[in-house]
Amino acid sequence: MSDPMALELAQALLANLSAVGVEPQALAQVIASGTPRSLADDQLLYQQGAPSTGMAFLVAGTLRVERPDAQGRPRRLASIQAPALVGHMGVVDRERRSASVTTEGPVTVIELESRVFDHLVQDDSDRGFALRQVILVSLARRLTLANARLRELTEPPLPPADPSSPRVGRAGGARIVDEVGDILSGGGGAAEREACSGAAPLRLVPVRGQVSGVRRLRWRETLRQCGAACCAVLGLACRQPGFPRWRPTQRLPARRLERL
Amino acid sequence: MPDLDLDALASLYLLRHVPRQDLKAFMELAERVVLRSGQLVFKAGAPANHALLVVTGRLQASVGAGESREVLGDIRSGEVVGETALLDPGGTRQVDVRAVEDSVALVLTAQVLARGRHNRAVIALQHHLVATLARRIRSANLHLQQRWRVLSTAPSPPPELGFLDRVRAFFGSA
Repeated sequence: MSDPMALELAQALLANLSAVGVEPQALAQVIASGTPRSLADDQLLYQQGAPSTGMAFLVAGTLRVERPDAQGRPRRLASIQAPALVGHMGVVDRERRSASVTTEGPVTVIELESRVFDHLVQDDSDRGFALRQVILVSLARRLTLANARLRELTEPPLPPADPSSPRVGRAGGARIVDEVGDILSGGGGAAEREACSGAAPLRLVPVRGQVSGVRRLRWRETLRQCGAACCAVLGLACRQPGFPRWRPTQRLPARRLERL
Repeated sequence: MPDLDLDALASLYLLRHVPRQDLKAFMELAERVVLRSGQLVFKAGAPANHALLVVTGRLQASVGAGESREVLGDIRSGEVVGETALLDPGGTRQVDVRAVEDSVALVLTAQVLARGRHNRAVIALQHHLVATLARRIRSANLHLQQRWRVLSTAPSPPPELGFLDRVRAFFGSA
């Protein structure tokens, strides 16, 4: 990969990850150490259970992460959009791939073999710091998301909202205030436009919601969300292409996300 | 009240291979905090923007208060607490952390890591954090999978009744 392209990807990654102190040029050097690879639609990048022999920088396109459910059917866990890191858990802890990763449309990645990764991650130069720091930030976000999902699935359901006293709770580091509001018809409106786009999962997302959010969604519906934090935490309507729009059928409390 | 010296830092397992000059520079980079036994260090819900490396003493993580307080575990010397705040700032503390012994810790911020990028102590700390986070993600994923299995085999809620269904139910006709 050419240096200008690597730098462009590094800048895009850092804008997404906000890794403090990482110089784009240093991260670009890491990216330039990898090997570009183009994949067609519906092509397997990582197979669940396979040895982890490298990680990748997702340059362009979308990947879907899947695992089989109890009946053995593939279930989507998440969608990953460029720019992003993929497969770094495996090269960090040497475990086998925990899920399969498949392309959705044409995809370009830059693959970093384990051997190269091991060399770079031990490096005490700026590029070593850059690689360690982006891995750390990415893992920290992933842990926050996993914990938020776990909390939503294991905590007991919230009581119905009382219009006279907004209910305050927390999820995924967010402070959520339930307040009674009008249900949107699904055709538009200010709140509708602010619904989750999936592209920036940790932004303010004041939208409609069910009384108990994701807990009252049926499991099938939950898994068909795009995987962004706002959907996973709050059970919000999803704007990602290919995902069903959730249309509430009765007057329910809207949720206001104060802070993430 | 305990103090912090170079030997205490050098005795930590995660810093065992770090040259003393790097440890000394690291001590100058990271602010030192002395915590009294019983002192609340992190409060759940409070803004989180730094982590602590416990050098001596012991902290304890818990949730809830009073009789419903549940202890989640101890954080001992050589362990880091609050690391997700260090790496993904802007969130809030998820649990209470309290000193259960007189303790000394180093305050870790994103700026400390950035300024000490060539310091072997910071590099060792980054490796330690990578391994810790990876282990916690695997653990959280395992719990999620177990929970999903339970939910995917649970019966679905009854479908919503349409108008005709409601009429039939009201009049009791088949």
